[in-house]
Formats: sequence, C-alpha cells, structure tokens
Amino acid sequence: MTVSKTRCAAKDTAHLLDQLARRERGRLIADLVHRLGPHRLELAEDVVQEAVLAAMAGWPFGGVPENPGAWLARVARNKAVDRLRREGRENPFEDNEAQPDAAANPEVAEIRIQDPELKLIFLCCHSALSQKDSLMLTLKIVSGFTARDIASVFLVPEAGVAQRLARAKRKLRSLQQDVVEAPSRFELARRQPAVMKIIYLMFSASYMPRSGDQLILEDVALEALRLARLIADERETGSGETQALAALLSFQCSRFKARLDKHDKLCLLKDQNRNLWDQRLIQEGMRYLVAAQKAKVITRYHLEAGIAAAHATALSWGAVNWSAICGLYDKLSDLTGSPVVALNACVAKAFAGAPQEALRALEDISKAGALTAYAPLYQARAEILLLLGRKTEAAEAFEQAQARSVSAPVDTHIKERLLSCL
Amino acid sequence: MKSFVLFLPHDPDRYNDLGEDDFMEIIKDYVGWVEDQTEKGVYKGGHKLVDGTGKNVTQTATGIEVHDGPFTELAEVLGGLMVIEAADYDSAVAIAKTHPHLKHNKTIEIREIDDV
Repeated sequence: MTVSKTRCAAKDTAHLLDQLARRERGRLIADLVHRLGPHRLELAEDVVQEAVLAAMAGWPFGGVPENPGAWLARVARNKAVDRLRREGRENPFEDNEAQPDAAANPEVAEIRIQDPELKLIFLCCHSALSQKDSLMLTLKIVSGFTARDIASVFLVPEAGVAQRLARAKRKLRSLQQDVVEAPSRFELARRQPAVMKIIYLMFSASYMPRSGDQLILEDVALEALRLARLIADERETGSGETQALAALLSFQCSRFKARLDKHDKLCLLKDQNRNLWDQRLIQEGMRYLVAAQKAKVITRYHLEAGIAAAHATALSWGAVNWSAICGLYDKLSDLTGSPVVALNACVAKAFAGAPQEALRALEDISKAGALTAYAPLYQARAEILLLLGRKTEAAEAFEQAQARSVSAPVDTHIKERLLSCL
Repeated sequence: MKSFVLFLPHDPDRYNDLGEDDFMEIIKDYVGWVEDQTEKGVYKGGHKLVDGTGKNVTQTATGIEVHDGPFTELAEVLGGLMVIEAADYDSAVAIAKTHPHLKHNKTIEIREIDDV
C-alpha cells in the first residue's frame, strides 16, 4: 500500500494525465502497428485504449507510478498478446519480429524509416485520404488526442469527428494491403509534402486563438512541433524542406506563452513581452534554418521560417528588420499566390515605412473579393489607416472586422483597437 | 491520529458503457483528490479491487463451501478502498465529504482501523 511521491500540484494533475495518456497512446499504437503491421491498426488502437484506461483506473488508489510510460507499455503489450492469442496466434510478437520489414521486395527494402511513429504518420497521411481526414487521423492516432479534444480544436461536434475518423479508417482498411504496409520509396516521396502540409495545418489549427481550450490548443501546437522535428531529424525524410518546417514551427512555438496576456486577451507581436519568448526554441529554430539552407529549392516553409526568424531575433518591436520581412513576403506571395499572404505582405510594407503603398495594395486585394468574409482584411486596413492618421476610416474598418470576427479573444482585441480610434 | 478505511462501492454497471473521455474525467477527479490529500499527509494508501465477482468461502455443517460472490446483481459492488488519517470520526467524515466518489457515485463507508 504505497503512494508514489507527487511532484506537481494537484491542479496540474489533470493536464499531466491528459498529456501522458496522449503521448503514451501514440507511442504504444505506433509500436504495435510497427510490429503487427498496418492492417492491425484498429486492434492496436483498441488494445492501447483498453490498456490506458485499465492502468489509469488503478491510479486513483496507488497514485501515478514513478515511470507511468513503462507501466502503460507493459499493460498494453500484455493486452495485445492476450487478444492475439485468443485469435489463435501464439507468440505474436516473436514471429513478427523474425520477419523484417520487407525482405521480399528489394525496392522496399531500401526504405530506412525505422521510427515507428514516423511510419504511422505516413500511414495516416495516405494519399487516398483527404487533408482534413489525415489531419484528424494523425491527431487521433499518432498524437493520441480524443475525438472530444479534436472537436474542440476544430470547433465541430464530437459525433462528427468520430464518424469522420471511422470513415477514414475504413478507407485505409479497404486499400490494398501492400500499398499501406510497404510504401515504395517513390510513394513515400510523393506522400511527404502531404505529411508536411498536415503538420503545418495541425499547427495553424492550434495557433488561431479561438474559444477552444487553450491548454489543448497549446498541446496541439507542441505536438506539431514534435512531429516536424521527428521528420526533419530522420535520415530518410530529413531535407531542406522538412528542416525549414521544423525551423518555422520552432520560432512560432517560442512565442506561445506571450500570445495571450493574463486575462486571456490576445497580445500582438508588437506588445508581447519578449522575455517570455522561449530562447531555447528560437536557437533550435536557427539551427534548423541554417541546416535548411542546403536545400536546392526554396519552399514556402523556408520563406515563412525566414520571416519568423526575423521577428524572433529582433530585440524589440522597433528593431524588427521590416525591409527584409517585406522582401520575404513578396517572394512568398509570388510563390503561393495566396491572398492571405498578400495581405500579410501589405501589413509588412506598411510597417516598413510605406503605408500609402500598402493601402493601395490592400485595395487591390479587397477588390479581388476572395477575402470579403475574412476579419483580418479589415483589421489590416484599419491598422494601416491608423498609421496614416486617418482615425475615422480606421474605426469604420475595425467595425467591419468586428462584424466578421469569430473568436472571443480576437473580438475583445478589435473592440480595444476600436476605442483607440475614438 | 487515527486511521480510517474508506470503502468505495459503486453500481456494478457504473463504468461499463462510459466513453473514454468521460472515464478520464472521473479518473482525473480521483487522482487530483488523492494527490491533494497525500500532500496534506491525510492519504495513506489504497487499493483498487479487480472488477467483477470474487469468492465467498463459507464453513457449513458439511464442510467448507466456495461460491462466487458477491454477486453483480447486488445494487453496489466494492470498487476499492482507501486509508486516510484523521483526528476522529468527525474529521474523517469531513474529509470523505470532499471525496469525488460522492460526485461520481453515491456512498462511502467509513470504518476506523483498530490500532489498539
């Protein structure tokens, strides 16, 4: 009858348990799928789920064990063995280990993705699935978030998420086994941009401050960073592009703590307490960015990481190198053709000391019409007008933004900016 | 200081159809309470019992009989027990009143351990 020492305040316990469950669940599923094959994905999920719940049911009594990961792994393994034995398979793990990844197919044998989690990401990002399905599946299976967590990130009903996940898994199961099980190097290369896009979207979904649970959103962002690192550090997938993505997410995550103030109000880059920026992450971002320079092709991740680096390394708002940022935004705008990027380029231009020119460019974007419902368009217009001292028009623009805002923190922020115009 | 056992019974079907998220919420409440009480020096340990029926071993006129039991048709089964330290029954009761078991289930039975 022993109680393990507790190292954290009880109020943090709930969050730690969530993180632990997610982290371990992802790892355990990856390990089982790695050993048993992707066609066992659902069995792996079931067994791990059961194990995590069974293990946790005992924690209220004896406390959380010193090494909960090892404990969960043991329970999950035992459950998997039980389940497979009941299906009539003896020593399921042993005979699978004896048969290495893909000895039969020489093309496949070249593949060196050893990391079970990375393999699982590539499985979830199979080209037969839509981007959103892949994104949710990755969050569910690789990152261990529950359908409820995912629903809170995307602000959709939980039942819808569950259905979507079930459909995606059915689809994976219906694919020819060899396609899923042993993707060729060609298929892996083909899937890599999708995998990167998923990681990028995962981060974006968490980065927009909305009414969702802040703790979950931050966990999703850190999870995206973890996956980006995983893929950048793996020999087979590490490239300039993946390193640039890891750099970008390192820089963005470094500011997470400074993005909302004490009252959960949105804090703009300009007003953020730079002492709260995580210097360790910024340095890591710089390391990735330097490594990414070896790439033959400059991707949008390079340009975005460059912009993020310019912000992250500026000692104050006044020290930001806006002309460098403008140059990067222009390239990014050309590369992506995205009106949102063009909008960001306008804002940078205004801060770089050309607000008049920025306003003209912004009018062009407005006329194109793609961003009519997009609140930041009006916010940007308002801020540029403020720079030009045109307060009445700025106030109008803030009101237009307000009419289109979705989240409480953004809404509060716009209200405050509006007051400053009066 | 005296030691008390808290017996935590629950409806036999209480956890059968619970979704993972709901189950986790309950676990978090219990773990949070235990950590609080451990920090205060109140919580001394506990055991979860394996779900389902146990065995009843009974001496009868014809010998010792062994039956499965207690039966799940019962209104409540014992899910686990916890040991706490308290000055007297009143404070043990006060502590038990903060227990999340009362939020997620109905009853806690408190018994003092005879340390004499």
